[in-house]
Amino acid sequence: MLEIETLKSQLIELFQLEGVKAADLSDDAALFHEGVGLDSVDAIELTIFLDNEYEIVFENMADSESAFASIKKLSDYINEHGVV
Amino acid sequence: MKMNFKVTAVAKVYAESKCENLDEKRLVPKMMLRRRLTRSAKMMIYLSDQCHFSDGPVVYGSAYGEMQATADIVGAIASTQPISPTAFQNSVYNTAPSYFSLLYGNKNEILTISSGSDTSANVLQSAALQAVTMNTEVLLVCTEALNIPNINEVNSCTDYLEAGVALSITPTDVLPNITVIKNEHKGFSPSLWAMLDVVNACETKADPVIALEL
Amino acid sequence: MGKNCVYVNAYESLSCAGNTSELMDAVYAQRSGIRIDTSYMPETPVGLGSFAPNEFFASLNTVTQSVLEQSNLENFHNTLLIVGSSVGGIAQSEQIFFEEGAYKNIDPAKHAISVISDTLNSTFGFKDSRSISTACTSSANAMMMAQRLLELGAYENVLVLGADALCYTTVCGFHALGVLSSEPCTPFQQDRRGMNVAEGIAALLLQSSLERESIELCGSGGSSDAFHITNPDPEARGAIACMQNALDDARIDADKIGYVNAHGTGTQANDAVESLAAQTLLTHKPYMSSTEAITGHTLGAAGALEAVISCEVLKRQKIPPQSALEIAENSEVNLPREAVEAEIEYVISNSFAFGGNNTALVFGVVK
Repeated sequence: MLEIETLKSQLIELFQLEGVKAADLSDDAALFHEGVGLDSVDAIELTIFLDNEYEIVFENMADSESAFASIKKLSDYINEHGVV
Repeated sequence: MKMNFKVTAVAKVYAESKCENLDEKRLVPKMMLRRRLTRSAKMMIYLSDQCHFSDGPVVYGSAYGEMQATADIVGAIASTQPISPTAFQNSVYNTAPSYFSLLYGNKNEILTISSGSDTSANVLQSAALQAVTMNTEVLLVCTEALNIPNINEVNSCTDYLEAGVALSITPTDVLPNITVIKNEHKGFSPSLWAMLDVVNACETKADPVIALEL
Repeated sequence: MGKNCVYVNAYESLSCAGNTSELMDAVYAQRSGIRIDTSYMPETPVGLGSFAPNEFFASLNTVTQSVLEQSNLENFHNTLLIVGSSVGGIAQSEQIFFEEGAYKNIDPAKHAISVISDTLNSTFGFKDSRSISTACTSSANAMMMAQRLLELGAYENVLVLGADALCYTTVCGFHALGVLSSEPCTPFQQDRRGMNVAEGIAALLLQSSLERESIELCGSGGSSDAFHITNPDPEARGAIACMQNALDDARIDADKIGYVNAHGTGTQANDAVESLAAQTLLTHKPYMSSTEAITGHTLGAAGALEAVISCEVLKRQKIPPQSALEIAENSEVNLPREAVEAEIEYVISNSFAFGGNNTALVFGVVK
C-alpha cells in the first residue's frame, strides 16, 4: 500500500520542487496547470516514473487524465493498478 | 572590417567546481522555472543581471554546451534506462539563452555560437554584427559548465570548471580608447579567453570604447 | 551606407533522398527517403532518414567540393565558413562511451560542434570560420549571419554549411518527448503522428557578385517565442514576428510571397502553429508545403537544406506538393496535392527550434 505522504515525497524529488515539503502539498491539489503547476514535459516524466516504479502503463488518455487530476487520485490509481 | 563599440557593462564569474552565489532565488523567483535551470543557465542569468541587461538581442557562446544533460542522456541510453525529456530539452547548445529569454520575456534575436576554442572570439564578432545591423545594444555571454562526474578523464588544463564572462556593447562613432591585448588566461577554458581579454581591458576604464572585427 | 545584394550562387546537398538533383526529383514525385528503423530502439520502430552508414564526415568534404566546383572560385581561401549544427560530433562520443563506459578516449575537439569546421578547414583552408548551434534553426541563422556580413561588405564570399548526423541522443531524445513517428511523417495532416529524425548536409555559397544562375537572398528575420523551453507559442506570435521581420528586411509585402517552404516537421505542435502563422500573415494563401516527408527533419541542417530546396523551386518555377496529405488539419492554408508550375517571384523558408528560436529567410528571382 503506497502512503500518500510517500508519493508526495517522490513527486517532490521527481519534479525537483525545491523548498517544497510533503506537508505543503494538499491531497486534492491538481498536478497540472493550477495546483502544483506541472507542464507537458513533467507529464512525460511522470508516466516514465510510474512505469519504472509501479509498472503502470496507461492504456488511454482518459485514464491518465483522471489519474493525474489530483495527488489523491494518483495515489488511489497506483494502489489500484500498480505493483507496490 | 572593424567597427567601434562602447562597452557598457562587463562581468565574470568562475569557480574551481561550483559558483556558489549565483543569486538564483532572487533572480528567478518562480520555482517552477528555477528548478529546470542548468548551471549554464544560472550563470547566464547571473551575468546578465550584473550587466543590467534583460531586453535586446543576445549572442551566447559555449564550446561544450550542456555537458551534464548530455552525460545524463548518454548514460541512460547505455544502461537501457528511459531518457528524461527534461534532460533532452536541456541538452541543446542554446538552452541557457532560452531560459534567459523565458525569464525576461525577451523576444529578440538570440544567437548561440559554438566554435571550440574560438567561441568567445566569434561571439565578439557575431555580436558586433548584430549591434551594427540593429543599431542597438547587444548582450554577449559565454559560459562553460564542465563540472560533471568523471570530467577529469578528459580534462587536463581547465581549473575553473564553471566559468562565465559577459559584456554589453553599443555601436558608436567615438574612437577606441583601449587596445585589447590577447592573453592566456591560465585555468580558464580557452573558449572564454577572447572575452576575458575584453573584460580585463575594460574593467578599470571609464567609458571604454573598443574596435571589433565583424 | 548602401547595402550589397546577396546572391546564392552555388549549392549542393545530401540527404536520405540523395543529392540535390535526386532530392528534387523525389520531392516532385512525392517519393519519401524515410526508412523504418529498429536499430536505435529495438522495441520501437521509428521513421529515420540516413545516408550510407559512417559516411557523414567524408560527405562533408564531398558536398563542399561539389559547391567549389560549381562556383567561380579556385579555392575557399578567401571565403568565410559558417556552420550550423545542433549535435556536432556527438555520435562519435556516444560510440566510444557505449563501448568503453568511460569518457577517457573521447576527444573533446571531436565531440564539439566545431569538429565540422575543423574537418572542412583541414581540407579547404577557409579564410575564417564560425559555428552556430541553435538546435533546428542553426543553419537558417547561419544564412542570416552570412547575409548581413555580405551586405556590409565584411566578406565577399561566405559558405554556409548545415550538417547534422544521426545519433542516439536525438533519436532517443525526441522519442522521450513523444514526438517521433513510426512511419514517414505526414506534415499538416489532421491526425499526424510526429516527426522523423534525419541526417543531412547542405552547403550554399553566398556572394555579393551576381552570376548567371544566382538566386537572391533578399531578407531574413529572427525572433524568440519566450513561451516554453520546447513547445512553441500556440498563438504563433514568435513565428509571425520572424516571418514579418524577414519580409521587412526583404522590403516586400506579404502578398508577394508565392510559396512557403514550411518547417513542417509533422509534429502536432509545430504544424498547428506554423499553419496559424501562415494563415494570419499570408492572407492571399500562397502555396505552402513541407519537404520533411521526403527528407525527414535534419535538425541543424534543416535551414540550409530547405534553402537549397527554396532556390531550386525558384529556378524551376515549380511548387513542391505536400506529400502524404489526405486531410489537412487547417483548411485555411493552401497545401497543393500535386506539383504545380507557377510564376513565383519570392519564397519564404521557415525554421523553428527548441527554446522558441525562430528564423525565416526570403529568396527571390533576380530581376
